[in-house]
Amino acid sequence: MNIKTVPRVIQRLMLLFILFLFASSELSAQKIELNFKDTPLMTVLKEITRQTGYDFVYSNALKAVDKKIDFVYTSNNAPITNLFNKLFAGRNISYKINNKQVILAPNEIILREKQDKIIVKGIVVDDENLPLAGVFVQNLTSKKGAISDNKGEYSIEAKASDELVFTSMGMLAQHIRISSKADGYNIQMFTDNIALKDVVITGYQTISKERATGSFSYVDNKKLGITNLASTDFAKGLTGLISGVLVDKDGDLQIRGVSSIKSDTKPLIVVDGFPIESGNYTINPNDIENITVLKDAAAASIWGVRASNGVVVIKTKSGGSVNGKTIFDFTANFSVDEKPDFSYYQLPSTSDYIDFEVETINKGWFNPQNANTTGYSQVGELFYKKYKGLITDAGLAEGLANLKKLNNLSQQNLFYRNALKNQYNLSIQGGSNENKYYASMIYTKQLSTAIGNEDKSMIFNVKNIMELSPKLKLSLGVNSTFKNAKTASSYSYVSGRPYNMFVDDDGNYLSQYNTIVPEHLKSGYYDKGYLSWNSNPKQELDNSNNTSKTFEVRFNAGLDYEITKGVVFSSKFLYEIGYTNTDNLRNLNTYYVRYLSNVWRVYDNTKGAYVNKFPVGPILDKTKNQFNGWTSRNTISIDRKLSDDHSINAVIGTEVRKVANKGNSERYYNYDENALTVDNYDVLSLSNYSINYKGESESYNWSPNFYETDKRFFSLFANAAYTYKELYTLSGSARIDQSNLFGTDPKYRYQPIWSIGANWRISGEEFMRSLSFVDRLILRATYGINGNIGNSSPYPIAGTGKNFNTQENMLTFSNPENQQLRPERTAVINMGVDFAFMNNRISGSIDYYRKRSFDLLSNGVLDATTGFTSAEKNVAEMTNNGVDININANIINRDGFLFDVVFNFGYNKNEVTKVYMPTNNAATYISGNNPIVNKPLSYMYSYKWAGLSAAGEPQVYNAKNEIVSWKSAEMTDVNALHYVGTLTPPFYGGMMLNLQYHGFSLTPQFTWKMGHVLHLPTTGIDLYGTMTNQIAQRWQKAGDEKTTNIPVTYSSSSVSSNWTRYYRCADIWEGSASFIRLSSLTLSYDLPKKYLHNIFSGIRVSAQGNNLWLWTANNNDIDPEYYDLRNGYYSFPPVKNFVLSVNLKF
Amino acid sequence: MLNQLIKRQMKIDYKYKILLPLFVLLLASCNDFLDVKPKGVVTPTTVDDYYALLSSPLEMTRMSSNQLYFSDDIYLPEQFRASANSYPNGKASVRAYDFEDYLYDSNEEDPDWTIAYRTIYICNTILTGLETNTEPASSKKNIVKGEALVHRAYTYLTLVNEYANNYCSTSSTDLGVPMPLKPDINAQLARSTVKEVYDQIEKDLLESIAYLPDNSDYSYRPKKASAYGVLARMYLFMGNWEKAYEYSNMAYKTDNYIYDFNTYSWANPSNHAASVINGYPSSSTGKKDIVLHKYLRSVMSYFFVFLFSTDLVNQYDNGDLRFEFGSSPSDYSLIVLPNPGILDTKAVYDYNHAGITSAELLLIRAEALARLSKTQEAINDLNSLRKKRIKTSDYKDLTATTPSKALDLVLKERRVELAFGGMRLFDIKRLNVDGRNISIKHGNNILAPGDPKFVLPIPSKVISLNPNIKQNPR
Repeated sequence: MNIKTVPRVIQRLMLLFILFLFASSELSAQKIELNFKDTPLMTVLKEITRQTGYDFVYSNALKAVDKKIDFVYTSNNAPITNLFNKLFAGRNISYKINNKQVILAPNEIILREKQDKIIVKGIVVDDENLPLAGVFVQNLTSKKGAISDNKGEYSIEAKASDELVFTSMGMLAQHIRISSKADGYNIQMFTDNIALKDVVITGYQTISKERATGSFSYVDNKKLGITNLASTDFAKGLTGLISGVLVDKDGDLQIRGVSSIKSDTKPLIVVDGFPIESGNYTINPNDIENITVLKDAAAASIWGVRASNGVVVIKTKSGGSVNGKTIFDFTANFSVDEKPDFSYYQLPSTSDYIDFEVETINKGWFNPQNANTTGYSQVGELFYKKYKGLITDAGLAEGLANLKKLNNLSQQNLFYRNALKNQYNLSIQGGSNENKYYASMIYTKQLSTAIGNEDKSMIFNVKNIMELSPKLKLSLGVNSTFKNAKTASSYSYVSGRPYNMFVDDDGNYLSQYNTIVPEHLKSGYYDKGYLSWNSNPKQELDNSNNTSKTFEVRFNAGLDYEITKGVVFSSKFLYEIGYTNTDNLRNLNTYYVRYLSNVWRVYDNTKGAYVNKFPVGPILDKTKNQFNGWTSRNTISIDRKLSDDHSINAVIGTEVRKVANKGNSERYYNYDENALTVDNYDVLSLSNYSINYKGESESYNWSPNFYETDKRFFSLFANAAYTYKELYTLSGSARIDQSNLFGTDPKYRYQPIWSIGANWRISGEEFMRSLSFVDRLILRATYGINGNIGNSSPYPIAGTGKNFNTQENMLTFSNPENQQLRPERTAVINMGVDFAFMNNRISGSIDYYRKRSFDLLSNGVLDATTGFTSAEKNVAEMTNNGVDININANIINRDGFLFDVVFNFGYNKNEVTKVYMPTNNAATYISGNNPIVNKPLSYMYSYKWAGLSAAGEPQVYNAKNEIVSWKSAEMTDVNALHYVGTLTPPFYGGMMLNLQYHGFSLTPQFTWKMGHVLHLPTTGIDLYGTMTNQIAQRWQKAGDEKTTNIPVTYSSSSVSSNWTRYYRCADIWEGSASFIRLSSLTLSYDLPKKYLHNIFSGIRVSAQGNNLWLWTANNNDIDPEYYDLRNGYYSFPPVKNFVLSVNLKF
Repeated sequence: MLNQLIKRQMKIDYKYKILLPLFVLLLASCNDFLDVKPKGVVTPTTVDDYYALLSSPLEMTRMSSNQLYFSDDIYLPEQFRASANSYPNGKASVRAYDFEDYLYDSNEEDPDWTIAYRTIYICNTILTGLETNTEPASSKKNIVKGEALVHRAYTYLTLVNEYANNYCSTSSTDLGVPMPLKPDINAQLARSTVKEVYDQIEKDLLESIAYLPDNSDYSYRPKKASAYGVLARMYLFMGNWEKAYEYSNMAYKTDNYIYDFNTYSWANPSNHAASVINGYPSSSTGKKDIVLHKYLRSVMSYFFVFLFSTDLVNQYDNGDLRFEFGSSPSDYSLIVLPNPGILDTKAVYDYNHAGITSAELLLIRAEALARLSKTQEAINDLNSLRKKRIKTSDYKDLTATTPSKALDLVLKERRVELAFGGMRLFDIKRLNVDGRNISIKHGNNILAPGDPKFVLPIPSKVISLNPNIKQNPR
């Protein structure tokens, strides 16, 4: 590319751009060319729609559209009515044009707007209460017809007991019967999900479902509007809506099981045709028009290696409105999260805790003689005082009794609260067909249940689509996100002593004891001018200020030019930039800062005084992260009918991407936030080991750090589909991705990923004509190969650094050389059937898939003799077999009553079929770290429990059924283990019911996961924060082993990890993790039109409860989604959430 | 008019002049675009890269330490067990102290093994890479090769003494350690014999001399004397007294600085006692008596204290400043300990020196001389060391009339001078072959001569991952 030519190209482009702006109004002249032989009229109509933009609306009663006709027509600029007159004359069809919609009806129905006899009047509105123009109203009895006007008003002649049917494009037909009292009939029509689902949006192209070969699932904003009410993350809203898609409680998505062992199993997120780098929080859920999930090999071969975990394609709203009117849409949401209930953890009572702690002290865990070397608790302090003779036995007993009265759960309000969220969303949309705009703004202020954690965010989104000429379309969009977050660490209640209160009655912070200097030695330091050695989580919370500010912008522009009929060139560009700056300021009241100051406060002989070698004062940590990236994509697509029987749909293109990340961290000492000053200190003397407060040498190595990555990709891709007679489709796609990463060994650089597929539209066959209840029946299949090398590299990689003492450059290996490394490959077969019956009342799809993965990459365990204990390597082969079922049923739809069910069911069986370097070791099996042949990737094993020994110690059986004590040589035989099952649910799904009646709608949504297993919670026999109330049942005296499985407190001598492992992972704790959750229950009410006074076109009030009810297979009140299934530990308690929402349209 | 113009423009320019060049532009620039190297990481291929690989103290100079607890120098009182057990490494140390069969569970790494083989991997990467490196010969290229050879040899010498029998008449059949000489994470090597390992160590060290400089900038960078020193230690372990003498003598000619402890004290900030005992100041700079820097990996965390065994305390003569500087009667909170303690940072900590010092060279030379019946020369070496270790007021020259008397004195001095440097177990193993009958008593547990547990167990995890490696008898 000659540089000189660049400006000229741009000049030319700009000139043309301007010319087109002038010319656009001139170019609306229509050129129409039609030439059909023996083709169904329906097909001809579709072609007219494509060429002219006129949509046709007709009811099923119009049989004429199925008839095959011959039709030739050419025009340049002639009125469109010429075409329609010629086409419909003599075919017993009458038509009426309304805007760009053409209503067709049999001739016997007289389309008239004014009727003579009894007139039924009313307004037709859509599901958002906006007036619907151009709705075809037909009196089935009298065969008369009418059309609603721009205000949605209609009038038609009818008499009592006549049946009226309302039809409109993309809407479910509505039937009403006129009662004896003829009156106004206001009709609400609902979006026909099935009709909308007739297209598949892959992000690159929108293709008709009739021709799609791959497995795609679709959700529209109506359902997402319910599941995402007041949400800030659209992914959570997908929970239970799409078969084959698992959403966990954090909103992480997993599509069709895991096809990779590596941690990153997240699907690719594509927004309006571009994979985005910024987080889900930059997408305003209210802006989403619909979401399509691409699940099979066809998905990956369209989107490349990053799509191996599936693709989520999001289409955002693109503006436009009836009559060019501007529509405002305002929503206010108020949401409350209930304060977490820590009784979920089954914590021990203070009394039980202290009894246990006393036992550990008696067993020597804490020796009062050693009190000078170890920190101790209040209980320990009593024993120390007793040892020192400061208190008597009675004093000790009294002290313990006093402590037993305390429980710091009573001070839970210091750390947790009912958390409120306010959210306001305003969107404006409008414009004509030539220029559609959409703009939105959402503001969310969210407090977290953990005090000190809150964030505010604002997203602006502007989108404009301009039809510069019928052949040239320009789209522009800007999405910007601002987010301010405050984070603080809260007290978790998992560990810690229940009697250790945080504040006294006056609100003063109480010592938490366990810090580095024992309690009785602290005052000796204070005399010498040391700062407090006390640490208190509430004080820490109150004196830290950790804020982060995020700013992200996404800008995109796209140009579509129709080169010739059916051939479109598209050039699209996306630029993203984002900054996150974090300031963490901790003042002298935090233990962290006081500790550092104290450590290097030492006696200076020459000065004869204590001096601080470390700056005393607030520490400010600043981190800056920045990313920017762009994607440029150029495609040529063809969507063309070659002749009556042959049509082709293809895309070929290139994509260039760059993603750069950059960041650094800095630290400032004694930062004065008012004076804006900092201190310096002698960095090298502290980093090179300096004498500390105890007279030992200690070093302080904090150094600024930097990172920078620059990933670049170049891709070539093509996909094509050929359709014969609108019945049979063959498709194929391929893509090559190249990058500048270490991982791309030239050997594998040109290895394409590809797919092929076929589709048979059975419902279009002649022999199906007699089965009139079948609206759609399509069989489809795809096969393809995905590949993925991830971040692994066959080359040795070392990270740079500095030798701290000598400042010499230093390299440290992070990755060994491995010339045997191969890319991971997955072969995916998908077979599916799409169906719709009984006027689309029941529709859905069933898919079967089989994914076979080879050379799976994982951080495999290595024999340390090689120099590494683990490395990225090819470790195993695996299959995923599964079935996805989606069913939509419109069970009742008459007289204003609507009952819909959306049901989905997923089954996934995951099995490792081969392990290249198996480890057959019991401890490894229990830990679940390494894949095992013929087992799922996330398997769970148990030891066979042999009860407690006579001394109360854990025992298991070995393979010979002999009892093995924890003290004996380790039980390593895997044959002695019991295989329990899988930790990822093989069965999962959801169901959403929708009941509507006269403006009210009730929507319960259920989700379930079944067939997976867990280890029930057991108490830890230690003071390290894993204790539950079962601790009271521990073995305490001979004979207890007959009644309990909780071991004795271990003695102070060496305890191997066998003790804990044998006991915690024993088969007595096995349980089921199955559950059914009422994930949301939504009630909404649309105010009747008469109250809206022409100011509003719709007002909706909604109330929603989330996480209201749960059924679990286990009897221990464990919510399996808030739990470490394998090891039996609780994680943060589930909370209930309530939302109140008001939506105004005007 | 305008319409005409627009239509012509559209037909000619629009299609070809804008759209196609865009395509061409993207295709043409693809190779340059992708040719960007990541920052902060490299694939080491140049001499400079290799030099930088050898500059990491964590990778190149950290050594094993489990052998410390298989020695008669250490005492672990009952009251410290609990706190020791709460640390991952502490647990293995307690098991070692109790002479248990295995120090680690089958899912745990043995850091002694892991660290050593990481060092070897780095050396192998460099030595293999140099075979095909096309950079012109330079002193830096030589240095890189020499250093890699010395580090590999030193590491194998430690490994083979920790995990295999000491060098003796059966060494050509005794199992040594697996001996990778190329970086290959897919290899599943069996154990080489003890003799094969020693042969390789000797070969590497002799080869390294030609490449190494006379002096190096930092003590973690081997020089000629470092290679001589490791050779001297190796020949001593092999019982080759002539060569042990020859190489210790050669090394000591250039590296003979011995700190005079009499000029240091706890009270003197400019000559602080802590700066001459092991481990302080750190490692790489400043210390003049280090011939090759290596340190023992951290075994204990903060609160834990190891104590001198009574047996070791008895080895110190009156006025021995090594005891005064290196021990403490109480912990830092002034609680009196049952036996003198080695406070964490003063000895058993990250920076406890375990490499080769001038004092060790002197002791190797003295032992070789005594073994070669050069009694007076041996005693002279001892005295020149002791003069700088013992308070001037208490100091008296040693005397010996027979070589065996001299040898006894040398061995006693060796134990005291090299205490807690990780050498004691290796010495006990070779001295028991001489018939010195040294047992290690830890409470009621006794490791008597001939007990197979003098050889540490190969980590169970290694054996479970590599069936070609045979476990030591337990």
